[in-house]
Parts: sequence; C-alpha cells; structure tokens
Amino acid sequence: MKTKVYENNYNELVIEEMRKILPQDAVSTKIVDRLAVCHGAFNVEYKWIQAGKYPYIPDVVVWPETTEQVSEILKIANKNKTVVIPYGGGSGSVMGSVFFNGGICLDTKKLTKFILNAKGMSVTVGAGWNISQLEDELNRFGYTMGHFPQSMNSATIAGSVATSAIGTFSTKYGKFDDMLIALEVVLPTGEILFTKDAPKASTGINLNYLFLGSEGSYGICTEVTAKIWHQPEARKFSVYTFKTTHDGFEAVRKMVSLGQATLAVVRLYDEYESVFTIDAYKFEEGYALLYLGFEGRKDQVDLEMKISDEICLAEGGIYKGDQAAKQWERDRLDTSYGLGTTHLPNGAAESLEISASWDKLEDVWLAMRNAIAPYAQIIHVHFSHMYHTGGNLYCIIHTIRGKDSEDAEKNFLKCVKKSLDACVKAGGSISHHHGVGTLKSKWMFDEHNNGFEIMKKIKRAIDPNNIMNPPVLGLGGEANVG
Amino acid sequence: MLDKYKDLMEDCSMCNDQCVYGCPVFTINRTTTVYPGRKVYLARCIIKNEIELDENVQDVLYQCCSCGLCKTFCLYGIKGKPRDPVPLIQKIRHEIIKKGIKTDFVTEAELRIKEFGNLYGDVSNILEEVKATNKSGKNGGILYLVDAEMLAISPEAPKAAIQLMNKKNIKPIISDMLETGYDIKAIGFFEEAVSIAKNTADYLNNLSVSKLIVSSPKAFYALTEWYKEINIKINKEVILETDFFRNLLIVHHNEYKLRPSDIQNFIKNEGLVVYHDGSFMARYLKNFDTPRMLIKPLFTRYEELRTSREEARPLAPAVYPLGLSDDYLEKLANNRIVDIMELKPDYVITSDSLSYAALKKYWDKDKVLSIPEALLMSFVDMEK
Repeated sequence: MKTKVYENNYNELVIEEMRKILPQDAVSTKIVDRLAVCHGAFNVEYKWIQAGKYPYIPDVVVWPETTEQVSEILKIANKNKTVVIPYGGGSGSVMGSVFFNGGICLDTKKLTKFILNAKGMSVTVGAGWNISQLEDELNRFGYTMGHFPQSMNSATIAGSVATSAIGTFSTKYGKFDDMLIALEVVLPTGEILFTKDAPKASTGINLNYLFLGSEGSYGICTEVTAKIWHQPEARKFSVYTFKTTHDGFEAVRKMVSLGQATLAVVRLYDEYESVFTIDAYKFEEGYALLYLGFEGRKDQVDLEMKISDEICLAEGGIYKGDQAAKQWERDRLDTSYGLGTTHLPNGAAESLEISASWDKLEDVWLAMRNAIAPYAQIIHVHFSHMYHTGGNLYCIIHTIRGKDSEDAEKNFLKCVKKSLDACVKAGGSISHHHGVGTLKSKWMFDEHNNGFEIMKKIKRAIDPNNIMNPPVLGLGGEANVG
Repeated sequence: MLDKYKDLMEDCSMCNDQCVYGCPVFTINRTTTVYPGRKVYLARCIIKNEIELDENVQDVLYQCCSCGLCKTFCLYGIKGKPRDPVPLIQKIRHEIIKKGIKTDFVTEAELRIKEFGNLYGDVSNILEEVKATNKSGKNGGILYLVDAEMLAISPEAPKAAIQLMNKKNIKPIISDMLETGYDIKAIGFFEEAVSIAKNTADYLNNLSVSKLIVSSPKAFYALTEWYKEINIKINKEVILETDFFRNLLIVHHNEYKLRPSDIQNFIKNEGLVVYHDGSFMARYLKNFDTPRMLIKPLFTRYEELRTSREEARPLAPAVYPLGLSDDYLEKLANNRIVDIMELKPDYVITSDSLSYAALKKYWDKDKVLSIPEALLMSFVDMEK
C-alpha cells in the first residue's frame, strides 16, 4: 500500500490561481478539511483507517457555490493538468472518490439551487442537495421524487446521477435513469453544457446518458432536473413466504411482466437471508420471503394488492400480513449489521449488486453464491429491484478471516473477484446501482467488450488531459487497489 | 484519556454519515468537514497522534452546537442504540483548552465566564427590568429561573410570562442565579461549568419554594438531565415554562381546547398566526407539542413554518453568544422571511429566542411574539 504523508504536496500555482477566483474560505489546504473528504463508505477504506495514517488524501479542497466557479476551477486544473475528483455525500461504496495521487477535491455540497416547476412536474436542483432534505422540501409542496436510496440521508442528488442510482421504491417511480430529465454539466475543459428538459426528443443521442453513471470521469454535474410526483394517498405492504426462492421468482416475474399491478416495492429474500426474519416471525422454516409495497390512490392500492395476492397464491405463496415489511420500512436505512463485521480487526462486509435478465438471474444467483461460499462466513442475497425483463441481485458478503485489517482487505477483495467473475460468466451485469468506481473497473472490458474502448475514446475527446477522476470505470488510469 | 469513547470512534469512522441529514451545522455550513462522524474521525486521528492538535482542529470541533440531532438520525439508533458524538467532541475541546490552545473565541469565552459567570456578559440591568414587571399575586411556592441567554436575547418573553403569572395571582420569586453551566461545559470549560452548576444548585436548593419554573428548554434540560450526570440534585419540582402554562391554562387533549374556566379569560385573535417550532432542545426533550396546545386556541387561523434544521442555531449553544453578530441575525431573519412571506401572517410566534431577535430586528417588531407574549396578548381578564 502506498503511504502518502500529510504534508502539503500541492502545486502552489494551482492553489494561487483558485484563490484568485474563489472566495477566501472556499479553498482549503488544511489537513482537517483534506482528511474529512479522504474516504467514502467502502469497507476497504475503513480498513485503511484501521491500519493507521490514511494513505490517500487530496492536496486541496474547494467549495464552489456557482456553476461558473466550477467552470473556472476546471479551467485552472485542465491548464495545469491537475486531477479533480468531485465529492458529494461521501456515501459511495465502490471507491469512486479515492485520491490515489492527491489532486483537487471539488466538494459539490454548496451548489444548492432549487427551482420547482409544478406545472412541468419537475424540479431543478443544485448538485449538492442532500437527497432526504430535498425530499422534505418537495413534501412541503405536496410532491415527492420517489427516490429513496438507502444512502439518502447522506448522499447528494448529483451522486445519483454519477452512479446511475436507484431507490427502494423503484418499481413504481423508476430508476434514477427514469427520473432524470436534464443536466447541467461542466466539462473538464471548463465548458458548461446544458441538456434540454424535453420529456422526450428525437434529436440525436441523449447526452444525459453520457453523464449518467459516469462517476465524475466526463465532467462535473452541477444541476439536475428530475421528475416529481404528487405525494401518494396511501402506502401499504404485504408479505408472502414461498417454499423456494424459485417459486418467489416466478410470482414476481408474473406480477411484473403481466403489467396488471404497479408495485412500488418488490423484495425477494432467498432462503438463506430469510432465516432471521422467518425465525423472528415464526414463519415456515427454510422458506423464502417476499415483501411487496404499494403506493397511490387508496382504491388503486387495494386493487393492486388484490391482483398481486392472486398471483402470489397461485404460485404457492402464503400470505403473512404486513408486519415484517413494515419493519423493513422502519429499518431500511440501517447498515449497522454489516458495519459490525467491518469493525472487527479481521472482518469486512459490504454488498455487491448486479443485474441479469429473467432467463439468467437464477443462474447468476447460484453461480455467485457458490463462488463466494468457500471464502465468506455469511452471504445474504435478496432481489430488490424488478423489471419487465429481469432484476437486480443484492449480495451482502461478510468475511472474517486472518489476523488484521490487511488480511480483511485481501479476503474481501478475493470475494469481489470470485463473485464478479462468476457473475460475468453466468451472463450478469457487474453493477446495478452502486457504480463501478475503482473497485470493479477491472471487469469493465468483460462488461462492455469493445464498448469499453469507445468509452475511453470519448474520455480522451472530452478530457484530453485526463484530469477528471481518472481511475474510476478504468477509463483514465489504473487504480492502486487490490 | 478517551478510552471510554473507543467504540464510538470505531462506529463513527465509517458509518455512512446518515446523521448529516439532521445536522443543523451541516445544513448551513455544507462542508464535509463538519459531518459529526468526520469530527469523530478527526478525534481518532488526534488520539493516534496522526495529526497535531492545533487551532484548525479546535475550529472544526467548535462547529458542533451540541444539539444531539445526530443521535436522533444515527443509523445505530434504528436498533435502539444510537451513538452520540457530542460528549466526545466536548471532551476533546476540554483537552485542547487544557493544553493551552485557545482560539479568539475560546479566549473571549473564558474572559466572560471569569468576569460574569456566563457567556453573555453583564445582564444584571435586564434582570432588574424583568423583576420590575413582577408586581402582584401570592408566591405560592414558585421560583422562576430565566437564564442569561434568555435575558440577553429575548427579555420580552420572561417579562410577559411574569405578567401572565401575576394575572393568575402568582408572584414568583425570580432567581438571581442565571446560569446552569451547560453551555460552559459544552465549550469545554468542564471544571468551571461544574463549579457554576454547584453554586446554582446550592442557591436554588436553599430557597424555600417547592416548584421551579424554567423559561428555556435548554436550562430545563441542564437542570433535569445534565445535573444528574454530574451528581447534582435539585430539591424542587422542575417544570418547563410552557408545561407550567399548559397545566395552568388548558385542558390537555388533542383538540387544544382551553380549560373551560379559562375560556372567558381569553379572546380569540382574528387572523393568521404562523408558529415557528424552533426549539431543538424541546424536541430533544420530546416535548414539542405543548406550544401548539397553547397557541392554537388563541387564533382563528393557524399555520406552521416549515421545520428547518437551521433553527437549531449552527453557532449555538456553545458558540453563538459570541457570534451573535448583526450579519448572522440578518441572514437568519432573511431565511425565515422568505418562508413567512409565502404565508402572509398577521403574527409569527417563535419558540427560538435567536429567531425571535432576528425577526424583531429585520422583519416586523410588532408581529413577532414569544409564546408568553401571545398568551398575554389574548388574556383579557385583568382583574380576576
């Protein structure tokens, strides 16, 4: 592991130029500010904290308050060929904002514009809005974004663009891909780009998709325009057990693909992850568990529950009321279980989320489970975002082995490798909504084949000096991981 | 020195930072540096001698208002065991002061504590003005404590409270001790704070009254919760002022109706009142509905200002007495005025003394009321 000293290591010229165009307190080389942004929320980053002095910190932190300031910062960085990594809430779990070679940390949280377009059913907000605070603000006016990721209390809205994120009520409100209407982005050369807020256009390629999931490698998203909805009248849940995960799959596949009921939440837990809840609620031992959530008009919700019930019962499901799902709703932001393992000197836990089409999803699930089994102490798997053509698999891996944080890091990264190799081989996609970061960048060719080369060409075209978050997605350099 | 915080330092060093959603300091400041968990990480770096303890560290650690909202939103709290970084942050402030490192703010705070026994300077004249309003009624074993903060920022509120008590034939003894020590402890002057707390407790305990009414939720919290932690006993029933008036004036049920015997004493004011629930400490005490019970029956139309984390005073309680600048008040007022103007109210009632001062100064001094002022305004039965 490379160990970088905390002494200032920056290019005085770059700092000097930035100080000229930004308010005095918007540029900091203080260690207290640089340490605060040095890590995200991935377990290996915590292992580095456990091991001692943090190995990778930025040289300077800047807090622009306007798009124009972001543009000026990028012009200076580009001229001086200095790396820039945007930093939102700091909740990323794929090491997408690691300062392997120092550079500028551009903290986006002071970008806080808010324009509600009630007639147009959209909101335009600055990149730095905390997702939960934004939802509160929309609720004040009677609207919701319907975007409830587990990280919503700390993540920023532009982080959802950067990772192509998703929330737990995605089956009704869609992925962030579906919510996104338009963007304002500052390109690495400082040019400001706007995309149009049309509901749909047939005017060439949709440039939103150049930045959705780009993890700060093609530019910095400064404003987001997203869909809003009227707040629903009712929210209800139902719970079913199934003899096997396969039976649960069949029920979910039919519910989603028949198109007769708009579910809001679908969460199918395999027989292994279900054990604790099955035990707590005295459901049938060894069964899989399905939670369904519904939102909308009261009568619509009741009808959708009735249709779903018919399908679940026909597939062998047993109705179990709503308490287990309501408990999930209350606890859904809790990540303490995994952190308990990660806090052990030799422990590490984290989730990997992949996706696959219906015809491959079960194979991918079994292949990943089998691949990790020899290396992990606990493997929990559930399927929590479902589509017409397939779904997402969420695999939570706990490893407790060896003697120290270095062993923990190695063990966990081995699990990542085994599971992603298995996923690719069985036809799955390596990331569903956390992004690639530097953790999964080695699988980008497997994921995209020659498409990966096209992404690199685009990167070279719009970021000729390779300043924007180079190692993420494997587009601009190697990461110093694993 | 910080062994008992070892687990906290592990938990908060990689916790997804969900508490920033509730953090008033972050809501204003918007840097990652002020995340509660990142302050704990900084503490960890200090303990492990990875960074030097200097004024920059001290500055960051004072970017916490000790409001405890991070505990409310702590992910461990979901399972009933929330982590609380506030004691650790205060403990490190204490250690830094012991080492002799003092920013301008800490130096100024120390001077005021030594000279005045509080963070607000000389408030004796204001106390005399407040006492002068206490004119009639029987004592009935009641002691009223208005803390230095309330006197310095919104003395109109205790003046109105006393007049209201007088009208209910109560003439309280007004405490000469004005400081619980809680804010002083929060800044890191632990020994001084405990000494002040002991003096205050001795003074209060020696008065032969049975009930102690406390004007501010923070002082109430200090006397009922913090004093327990430092083994100081108060030999009286301690009652928060709003609870006292609730019991005195209204029937406690969901419709917020006045006690039947008191209906004749109150007029219902025509027009829209907007209530600003700004008392983070009252929410911390889970006692946030009493002001609503008191206010709702008094006005024909009632609305609430949106809940904002900003009301928890990003500079308070540890820092704001010294940062109570006009600039800050104007900014605070402007934030509120944007929302207030949407509602076009006839009155705004706020339970936050700082917002009260800001709105009085920068919005409309005649339309801004504290809760006791609103009650007093509606109380018509002068002679009863």
